[in-house]
Amino acid sequence: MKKTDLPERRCSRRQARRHSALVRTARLVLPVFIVGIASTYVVMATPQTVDRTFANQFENLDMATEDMRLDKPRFVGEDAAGRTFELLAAAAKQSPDAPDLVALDNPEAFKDLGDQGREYIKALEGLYSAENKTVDLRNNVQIHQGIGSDDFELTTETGKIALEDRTFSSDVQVFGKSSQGTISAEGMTAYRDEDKVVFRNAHMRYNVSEETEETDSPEENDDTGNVPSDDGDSE
Amino acid sequence: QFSQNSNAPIDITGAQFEAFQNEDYALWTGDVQVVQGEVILTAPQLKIYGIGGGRFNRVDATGGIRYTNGLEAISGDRAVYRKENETIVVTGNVVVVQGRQVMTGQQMTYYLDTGKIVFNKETKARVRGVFFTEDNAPSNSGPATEG
Repeated sequence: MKKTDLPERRCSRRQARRHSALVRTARLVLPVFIVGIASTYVVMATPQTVDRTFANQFENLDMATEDMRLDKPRFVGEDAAGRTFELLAAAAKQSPDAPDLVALDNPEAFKDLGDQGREYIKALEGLYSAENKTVDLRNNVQIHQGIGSDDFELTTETGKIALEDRTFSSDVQVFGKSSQGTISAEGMTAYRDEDKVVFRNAHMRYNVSEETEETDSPEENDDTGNVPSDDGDSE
Repeated sequence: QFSQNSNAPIDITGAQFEAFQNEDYALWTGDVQVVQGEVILTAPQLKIYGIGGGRFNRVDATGGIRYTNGLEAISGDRAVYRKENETIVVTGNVVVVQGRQVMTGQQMTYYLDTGKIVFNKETKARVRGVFFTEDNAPSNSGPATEG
């Protein structure tokens, strides 16, 4: 058989030796790698017996007996109209027997009304209920409330803020004063979204001031569509 | 305001007082009574405009009003007080009683500063009045004059 008839070699002798060495190394490393992966998985999957023993240390822990207390809590937010409001208190206490309720010392709620000044509600005591979303206020409840072109300082003994309805209401005697005069009523409700206050069984005393700047009276038609005329001076 | 002595404070009582933060009017409903000096105005509903400094620009009393100032007693369906000319215009079933004299009509203007009463002629209804002369006016009947 002549040399030229022999099949041609595809790689050189040196390349062949290198390939064999690679195969020999792979035969060693691959099994070790696979065993490593398998044991990691096994270790990870085993229940954390170690964590269980850690958790058991807290098993016979007693419930907290005294209240949890927060000093000078302060919450700042913005209402839908972009006006900031602030809720703060001297202290807030929560009892473990009633986690839904937070007792507030000297709660105050402020609302910035821009050029119309500032509105606030404050009291000596308050009770926030997370479940009902209400704040019951007691003991010298004071409300600074804009009414028409005037600002009233109102006081009452108890009141309730309904956070979802955005109202403040009181069903006991309310007293108030402003530059215009004084008001007393047997109850009130302030509707935050409608910027409206309703007093029940009210008595208002307007102090008629000496001089006022001329304000033009609204030339509104009356219900019957005609503006009552004043002339027609028939003697 | 409602009476010659117009600086006397005005006391208003009612079943409900509705005030608005961004509006310059307030609404009283439910047996509303307004007292200023010797004047008393009662009505089921009162709408007060322009409350700056306790001086109202306008007051609409509706639902059947009664007004008295110690001299006259006026009643009607509706009354509008306007500060700009210090008048009360009463419309609908108007009755004015001065002592034993009575006048009725459909629209009347009462001028607070002078006490003048004018029954307006726009309305078709006739104005009627019962007047007595000074000397010997009979106690209960008298000539009925038609305006």
